[in-house]
Amino acid sequence: MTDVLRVTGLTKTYGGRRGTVTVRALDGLSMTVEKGEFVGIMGPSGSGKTTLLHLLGTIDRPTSGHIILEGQELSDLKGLDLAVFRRRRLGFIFQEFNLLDSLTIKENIILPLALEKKPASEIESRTAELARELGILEVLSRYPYEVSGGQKQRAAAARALMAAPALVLADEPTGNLDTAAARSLMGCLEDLNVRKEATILMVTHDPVSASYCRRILFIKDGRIHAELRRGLDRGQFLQRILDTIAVSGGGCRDLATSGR
Amino acid sequence: MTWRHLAVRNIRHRAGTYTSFFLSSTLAVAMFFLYAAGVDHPAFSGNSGMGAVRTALGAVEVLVAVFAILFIGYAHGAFLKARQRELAVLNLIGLTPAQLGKMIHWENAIIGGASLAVGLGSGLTLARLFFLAMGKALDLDVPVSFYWPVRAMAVTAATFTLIFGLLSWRGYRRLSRWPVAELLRGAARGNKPPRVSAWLAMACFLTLGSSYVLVLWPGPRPALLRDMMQSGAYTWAVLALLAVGTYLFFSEAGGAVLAAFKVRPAVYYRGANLITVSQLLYRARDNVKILFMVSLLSTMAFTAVGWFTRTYQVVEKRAIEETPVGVQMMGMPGGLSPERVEAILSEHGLPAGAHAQFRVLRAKIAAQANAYVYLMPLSEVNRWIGTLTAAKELTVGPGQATLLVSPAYPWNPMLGAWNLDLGQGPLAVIVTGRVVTGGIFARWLGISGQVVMEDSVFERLWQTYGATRGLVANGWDLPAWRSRAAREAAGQLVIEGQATRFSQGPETVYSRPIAYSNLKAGAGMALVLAGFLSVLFFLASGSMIYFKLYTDVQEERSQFQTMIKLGLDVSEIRQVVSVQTAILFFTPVVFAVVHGTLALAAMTGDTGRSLWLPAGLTGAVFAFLYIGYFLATRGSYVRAVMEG
Ligand SMILES: Nc1ncnc2c1ncn2[C@@H]1O[C@H](COP(=O)(O)OP(=O)(O)O)[C@@H](O)[C@H]1O
Ligand SMILES: [Mg+2]
Repeated sequence: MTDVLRVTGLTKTYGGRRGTVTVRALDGLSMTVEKGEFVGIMGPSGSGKTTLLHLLGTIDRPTSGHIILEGQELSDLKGLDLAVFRRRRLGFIFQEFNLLDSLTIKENIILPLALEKKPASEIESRTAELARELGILEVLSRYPYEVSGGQKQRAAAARALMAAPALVLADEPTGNLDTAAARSLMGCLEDLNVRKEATILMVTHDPVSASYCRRILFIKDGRIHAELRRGLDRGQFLQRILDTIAVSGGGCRDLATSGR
Repeated sequence: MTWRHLAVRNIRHRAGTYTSFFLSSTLAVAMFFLYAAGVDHPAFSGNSGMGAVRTALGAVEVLVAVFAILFIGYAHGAFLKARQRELAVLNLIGLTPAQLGKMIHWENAIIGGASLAVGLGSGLTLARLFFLAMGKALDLDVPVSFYWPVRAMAVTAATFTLIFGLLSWRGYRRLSRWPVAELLRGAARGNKPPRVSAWLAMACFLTLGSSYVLVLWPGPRPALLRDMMQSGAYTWAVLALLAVGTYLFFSEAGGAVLAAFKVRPAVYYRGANLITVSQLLYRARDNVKILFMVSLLSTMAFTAVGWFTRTYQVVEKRAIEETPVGVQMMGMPGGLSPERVEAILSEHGLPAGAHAQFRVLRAKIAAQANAYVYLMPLSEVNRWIGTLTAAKELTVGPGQATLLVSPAYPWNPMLGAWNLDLGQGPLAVIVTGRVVTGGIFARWLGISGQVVMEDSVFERLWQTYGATRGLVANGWDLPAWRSRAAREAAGQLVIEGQATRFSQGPETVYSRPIAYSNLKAGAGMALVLAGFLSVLFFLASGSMIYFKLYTDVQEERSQFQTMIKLGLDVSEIRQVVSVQTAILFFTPVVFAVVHGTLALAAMTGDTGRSLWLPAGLTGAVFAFLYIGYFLATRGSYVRAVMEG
């Protein structure tokens, strides 16, 4: 197995300029993700999950530490290189969907490949394939405001996978979805992980969603403090996740109560 | 807390949204007021030579008001939209329709009152500065001084009170009818791209096509068209067709082009094209409105400047037409003598030019009150023509008498035996022909017309009536008619000639320097006004685009943030923004130049080269200013998008 992502000593502090209070969101965090893995990140609110994802997604820069994605040190990238790297190697799924209002669902999905100036035929066939996989074929010609939240998020997932990125980053993708839509989305992501070998790193604080992952990292105070690997049975895995959350106690209460 | 308080709070809290609505309202008020004040300016309205132009400017005032309504209406619509969410929340916490109404009315009253006050105030200041500067720059004889434009102020106040009242009512209707869910969704509410209709496309083609044909008619125009041109209906018809055609062009042709993109994946799916085209489509309704209004404004500004540049250009020609003879003077008993005229001219250092004179018998048409004709002898008139003018000599056959009428006042009475009264009982004169001719003498000679007769016939009449009804017309050539000295001499002539003028008759002295300086003052004033107007229109259209983009940025910032997260780099975002901004800025300029030139041609009935200079010059200035405005706007748009 090869590592897609290798993170060492990642630290991020916010503020500190001109007398403001410094917040250490990440504190020397290290982790690796292998090709084809589906990794979940859990942790209480304010533990640094979003910060981690932003750093991995090159949306923000770390205070110190290294992030190496497919052999590329991210802090070496600037300007146009960064934009191109982002759209070729990374896929994003956001909690609030972030589809462009002015584009139809289909146009939203093809955007990454259009930006790459790929031939139209390739774009069409890839769109059809992913749309079928995610069950959104019939809403392709609609605008985002005309489809449900679950469909929006599946469209966002399709968009994230369009360019066959090295790593898909998902920040609370089920956070704005009802239970059924959340399950359906997670099923799709699991499928894409298994069948298309998509490498996915997902932040969530919903234990049920997390139970679709193969491995879960628990963050607390900006560090990894526990890790779980899934066996064959998802039900058992969910129970172990809930146990882990209960054991870490205190700051994790909000996690336990949201378990379904 | 009263509703007035809530309104004041709202205004303070959401300063940005309110400011842009306030500023655009103020701009519209100031613009309308400045225009109205300009039209009323005494230096301008007091000038007899510019009567027709004044009427045209009065008509444009209505257009400016219509534009103000469109503009404020648009700004107000954007303003409402930007506030939907907030109003939805107020709705959810139980604001009743009546309370909503009160709040909206207070807001409108406050913003409307403020922009009326500020608009009038800044309008007055601007008008003063502007007329001062322009009076100096153009070296006008009639000083372009400041005055209190009372009518303009009243009209402005009334018009805008009405407009704000209507807007307040419309805002209330809209917000109280939209379901709360719709309000909550706010800006994300779908803007379906409009469907292109074959019928409307056809209508676009027909309206634009027919207006072009009307203006650029090859060869002689048919009678119907000539009649329309006479009545002015032609100009209005062309302008209306152009306006409707322009609107349809933006909605139909624009939609068709974008739709064509959409079905060509090889182009559409290429890079940022996808975003550019789909954003243009998504905002199509808005874009069409803005493009139409800005095109209308730019075309008006362009036409105004072009028209007045042209008027100014032809002032000299018009002066020569109006006064073919440098100085002409009717010698009255006890009045100015030819010697005195020559003395005055030489006092002002003007060399005495060629001199000619002819005798005139002043006859009243018996049956009509105050209708006079002048009888004059053929050979003397021809000597006058030959010595002083560039006109052709006249021919009158034996036993004939010809009525001369000026092309400006083409009087067409029954020919035959005229009963004239020369003070000694009725006298029949047979008038056998009528000639429309200009370039012989200034208007003064013809209260109604002049009858040129055979020398021998005239001589017989002169024997009898010369002593009581005879006058002598004198004319001098004045090569230096453009000079200040000539103008001063002419002024003195007018004053001295005034004393012996017939009570209801024309002036005793007509001179080209006076006609020239009056025309120049009128045309200069009109040019000032037009320049002023086009600066206003230019600012207004630029601000409109800016205003639209400003409201768009509020909505689009998150969209652009998403694009950046997806890996669009700054140059691609700049491309997306540039294309949209450029379309908004430059399509209207193209329309202004093409349609402005057509409108000029329609107004002047002239499609020749004489239009090239004003059209070209104005177009170049416009393009230049727009490029500056475009770069500034795009820069601040990109910055606003990136800073989020
Ligand atoms: N832009 C920022 N400026 C200052 N502090 C921040 C910023 N973003 C996040 N933080 C702080 O960093 C910590 C981690 O935040 P975050 O990564 O959003 O946590 P999570 O996503 O796990 O809830 C929190 O204490 C938060 O307040
Ligand atoms: Mg978070």
